[in-house]
Amino acid sequence: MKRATNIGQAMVLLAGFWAVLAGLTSPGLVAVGLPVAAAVAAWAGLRLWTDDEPPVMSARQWLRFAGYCVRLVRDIVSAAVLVAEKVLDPRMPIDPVLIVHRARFGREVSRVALANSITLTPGTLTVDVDGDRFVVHCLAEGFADDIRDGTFERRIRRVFEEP
Amino acid sequence: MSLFEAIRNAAAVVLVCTGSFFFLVGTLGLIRFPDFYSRTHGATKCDTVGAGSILLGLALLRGLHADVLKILAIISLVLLTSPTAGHALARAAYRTGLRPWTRLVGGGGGDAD
Repeated sequence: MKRATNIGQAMVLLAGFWAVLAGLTSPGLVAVGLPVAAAVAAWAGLRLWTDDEPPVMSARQWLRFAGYCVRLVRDIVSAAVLVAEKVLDPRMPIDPVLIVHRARFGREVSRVALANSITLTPGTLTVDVDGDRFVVHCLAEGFADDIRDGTFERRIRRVFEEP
Repeated sequence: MSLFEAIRNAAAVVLVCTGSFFFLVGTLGLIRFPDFYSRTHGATKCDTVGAGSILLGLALLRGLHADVLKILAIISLVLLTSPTAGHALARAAYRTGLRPWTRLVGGGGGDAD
């Protein structure tokens, strides 16, 4: 049953992606795209994700993911302005530090999301991920505040870990 | 041109200009920053803020059209791949033993000018 919903979700995503790229101007495109999406989804569900847990989410998780993206964009914009100030300042007041943050997640996708969000946010860059250990390069001490106090981690836990 | 269209065009222009500004800043950072890691910051931020904002502006200019979905797909793919590439570069450097530049040590990895 779980596998069937996984395959179904993958199929919807693939078919949607195809529809966007093809523009769906003729019925022929739909006739080709839908069966191919179904076939690829079935193959991926049966072969690709036999060992790993597939990166699927429930409807509520998708909703929370949308909220997460909005908050992330807000953080990115405010951090981008701070970094721009530092770059344009003739004295270039940067003070790079490497920090180590530990975050224990139950799913692979949460670790990917945390590492990716950190790198997306200006001023911080995920240098290495090893198990639950995240090595982060920061342009200045202050950029690491949201990582250090676990704000990022809490948000990601809410999106991907809670059912 | 109706008022609505004028506002839409103005917003698109503002977004594209903001994106270009951040591309400029990112490139300046790439040149000015002292070592590999901080330069990677500059390079990857061009993609997230610069390209993201420019593409949003273009989507706004296009209006209600299927192409907007394509642009949104490009944005989400850029936002997925650009940090991955930056992380891969930084990780390779870190695992090869390149030490980051700091104010205290001064020139740990690159030139500290």
